[in-house]
Amino acid sequence: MELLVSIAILVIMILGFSRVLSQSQRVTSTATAAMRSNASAAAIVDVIRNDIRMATQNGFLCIATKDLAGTPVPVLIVTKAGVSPSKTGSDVGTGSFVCLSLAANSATSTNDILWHPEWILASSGSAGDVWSGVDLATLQTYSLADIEHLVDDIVDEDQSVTLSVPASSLAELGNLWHVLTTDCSDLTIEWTDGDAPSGNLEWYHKDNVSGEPFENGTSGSTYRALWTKDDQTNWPKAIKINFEIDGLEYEVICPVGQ
Amino acid sequence: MKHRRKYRNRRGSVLLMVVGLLTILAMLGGTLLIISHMDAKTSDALSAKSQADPIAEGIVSQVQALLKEDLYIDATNGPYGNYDGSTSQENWRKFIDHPAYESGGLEVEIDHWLASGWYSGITTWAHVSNISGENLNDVNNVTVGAPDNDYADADGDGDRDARFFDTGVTNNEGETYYAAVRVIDLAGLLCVNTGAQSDAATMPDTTRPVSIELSSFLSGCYSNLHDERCGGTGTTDLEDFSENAAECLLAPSGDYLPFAIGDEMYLRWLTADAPTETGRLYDEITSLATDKRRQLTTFTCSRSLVRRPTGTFTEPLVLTGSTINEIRDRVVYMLAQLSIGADDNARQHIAAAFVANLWAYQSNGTTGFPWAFNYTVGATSYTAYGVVPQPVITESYARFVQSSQPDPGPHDHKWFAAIEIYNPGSLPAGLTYKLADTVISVPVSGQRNIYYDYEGYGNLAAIAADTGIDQATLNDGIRINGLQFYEGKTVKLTCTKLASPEIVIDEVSSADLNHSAASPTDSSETDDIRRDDATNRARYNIAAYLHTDDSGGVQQELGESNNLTESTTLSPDADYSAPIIRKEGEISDLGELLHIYCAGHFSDGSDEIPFTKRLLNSSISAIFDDNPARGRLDPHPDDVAYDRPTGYTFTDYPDVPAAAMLSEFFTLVPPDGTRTDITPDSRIYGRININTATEDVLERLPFETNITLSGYTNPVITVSDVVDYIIAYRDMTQHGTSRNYASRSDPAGADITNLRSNDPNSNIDGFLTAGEVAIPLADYVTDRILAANGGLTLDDLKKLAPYLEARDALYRSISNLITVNSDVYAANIVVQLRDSDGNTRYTWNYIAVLDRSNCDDTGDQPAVLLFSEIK
Repeated sequence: MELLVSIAILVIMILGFSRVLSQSQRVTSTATAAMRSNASAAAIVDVIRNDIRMATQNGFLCIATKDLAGTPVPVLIVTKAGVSPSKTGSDVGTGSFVCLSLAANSATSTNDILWHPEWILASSGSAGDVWSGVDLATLQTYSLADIEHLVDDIVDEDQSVTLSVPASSLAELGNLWHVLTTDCSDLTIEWTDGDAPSGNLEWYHKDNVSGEPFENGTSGSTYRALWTKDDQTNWPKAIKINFEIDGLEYEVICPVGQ
Repeated sequence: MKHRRKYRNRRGSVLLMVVGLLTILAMLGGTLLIISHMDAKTSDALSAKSQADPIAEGIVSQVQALLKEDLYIDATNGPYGNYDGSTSQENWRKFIDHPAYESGGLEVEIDHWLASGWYSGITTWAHVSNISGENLNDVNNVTVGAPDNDYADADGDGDRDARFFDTGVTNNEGETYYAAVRVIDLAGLLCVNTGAQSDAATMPDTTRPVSIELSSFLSGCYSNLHDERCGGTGTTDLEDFSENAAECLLAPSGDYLPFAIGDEMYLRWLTADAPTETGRLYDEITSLATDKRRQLTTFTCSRSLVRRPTGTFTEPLVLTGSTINEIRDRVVYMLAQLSIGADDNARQHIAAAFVANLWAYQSNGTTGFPWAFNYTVGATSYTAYGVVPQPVITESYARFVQSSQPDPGPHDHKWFAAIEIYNPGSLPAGLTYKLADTVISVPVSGQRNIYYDYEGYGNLAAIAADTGIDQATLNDGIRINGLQFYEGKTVKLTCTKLASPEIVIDEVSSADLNHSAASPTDSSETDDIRRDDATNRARYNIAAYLHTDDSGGVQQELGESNNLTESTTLSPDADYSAPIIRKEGEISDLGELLHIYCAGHFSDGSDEIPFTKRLLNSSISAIFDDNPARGRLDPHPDDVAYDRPTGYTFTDYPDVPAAAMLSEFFTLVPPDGTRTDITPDSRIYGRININTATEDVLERLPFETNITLSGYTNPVITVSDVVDYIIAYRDMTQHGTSRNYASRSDPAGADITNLRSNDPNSNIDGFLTAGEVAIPLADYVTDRILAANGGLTLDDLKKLAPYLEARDALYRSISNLITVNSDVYAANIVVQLRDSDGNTRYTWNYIAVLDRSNCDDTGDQPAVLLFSEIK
């Protein structure tokens, strides 16, 4: 009898303890996930800030949209100046293009990739992340139309490679330099020229088109705002980027050119 | 037993296993410790770095703000339109970009954020950047040496060059972030995208920055570098290179491929084997010494802006392509701004003469003759005609012998009148000359002819006997009916071309000769009066007459030199020559404007006044006085206010000669027309800021090396000595072989009364305007000429006709290529984390290049062309 009571008490204690443990595990898991997301987001924010900090106004800056599975998603392209070592080879450039957008993850149909390729602008080299035939010097010879064509090429570049996380082949592994993080969604990219008509900064994007005199497509999937070296005064004052990782929302506001 | 032995054997195995396991555990533990330690260090570094980047970013923003503030932008008139109510002298300083440092005990804050430039052999930084405006005692005269906690090495060369300051930022361990920044003016360096050489096969029509001698500076590296930036063509057509690359750096065309801003990293970070050793430029100048590399840049820009913009006056007028009316309007504006001319009417006349003369100066042959510029002042119409080399009346003679019989006679009076005409050479072909309404053949170049008429003498022998004039001279002369001064006549020398108007180019009137005989019985004239013909002083085109006779000891004879000495005092307006220089081609440098007279042939509709007399008109002579530059703007007069009204007070413009201000009203280098963000275009790439350039850089300006002073020993020009003069003037000292410019107006200095001495705030280091460099350059040439011609005094030299052209030759060769302000700056930034004991834990280095040439409005921000960490 005593044995039965002891066993019963023990079972009750085990059940109670396991419940506490499972609850703790759930809390810990959630906290860990949040911490991981926060750490990831902090790293992403740091990367984005660094990108925009290094933007050269002798290059170009573009906010556009591209089609991702029938949905227009924003694309940010920044020209950076400075020493830029290749991630895929031994080339070292004196500048780069960096791109930020969403791309499909071939390994899963539900979670998109935060697409962040950086192409090196070097006078030689053409493999991997070196953008063949263009460096900062040749970029200066480009007309507005040339830059638009270049933007077209960059925007579609995610279609030319298989982006898969986790990678299932060496080729896919070799493409991971395009990936900043996974499980990303709801990316928005907006810009402001500093106007605050209602007391708050006015943020422009594909659904709130500015009347500024630079290349500015219609709203929706054809939206394109392009700033070039030819007019350095109309560049945006700041860019605001919102995104979600694992369902958590993040926002980063980066001043441009200061 | 067997069992127990086996058991004992196993005890040894267990020991081994335990030791092995412990070893493995120790290794794992050790590895874990190492990894943890590395992780901790990485985390520590990342944590520390997370605050360094924003600090560097903040410094860039601070420098941006300073650069913009330094433009004094006015909401209506743009840059340099708002000096915040500063006094005049402060305004003068604020227009220029010059590193501030102590000058003669006066702490002169011009641009406290700007660092003084490096030069070979430097031992002391005159000034290091001070973006806070504080700690003035620690940023001047900083000894070059190893970096320490007070001073940083910002450019990686091992020498300290920037002042640390506490950022006020600490981390969670209480450690403090310090920062230092070195801001340099890239216009003080040689631009690898614009400089080339001054003697290529094809050069631009006007002097452009491609003339700056990058070739000699880079020596062995230049050929490959030029080939690379020309897309492999290595062209010797620098006119094409200039127009399609150097003048539009961000939008080159053709094969041209200027080096981009990313290549600036290699030039601004000087540590050997650094990651910055990459790029196209690095490939081409790998072998170049570090001390040369640091004096190069890929991008410079200095807008051509004016110091007091108003309305449409926001930038100097580009002479090439401007209409004559646009130039006239700008001259009028300039004269008014500088208070030259009694009133606006006088300025209208001066400006009209200036543009007509500029027109004639540039025209080929007689194209455009007589270069008539019609204008109105009030309700009166006038015409200004351009002056070109012309035959001139060098001597005149009139003798009148009164009739022995009273009216009505019969009279036996007699008179003789003669004119000597001299041909100084370089006369345009195709013109017809008339003397006293008679077409004449002018003497050949360098020769004289006598033209005469007479009455009452039987023959030339009688005239010779009566006047003492050599009969052979008279025999060679040509009789012109009607050439006489009798009855108040004026003998005019005119010229014409086919159906063009006939214009008076010289004249002598009876009044000029004090010849007032009005009738045969007039007794007032009994003597001969003659005119000076001292050709070595080029007085042939000065309407100054020697009102004396032979009894004064001055021998004058028609057809012969009058043997006057240089020291002979004639009349106050006749001491200096006025040679007419003509180019017959487009003006190519700003200094050529010094050749252009502010007076010329002039018509008020009823009377025509030739240049020779117009120079003596009080409206001109009252301005230009008796000066070597007679009738022209002079960058090196005896008095800084020689062309200003008496008692003139310098207010809006600096106390330098008015001629030095020409560069703020005119330019010949066209701005970049490819950019769309500022209107009108004003960006000019590659010009050198003479306030920040080092000696090495200044020596690459294409100075003229052949100075010609006809008839004298030509001086030898040594470029390093020329630069000594420039630096000495700039730094108010004696540099190398130069004069001592400790006080510029002092006789030991430039010896120009009132030069830069209106106020202590004016008497500071630096050039207040680009044209001011003409002063030390003129001093240098003058010193060299005098040294090469022993016995020649300065006074005598100033009276030589070719003196001014020789004196200003150096300035002309660089006048298009220099500036005193700039728009592109590089900032080397150091951020350092120190523990509580002051020990350095981490150091980060960044490089930024900022361009404020897009700033026209109060809301504009300087563009960031480069901001990158040295990793």
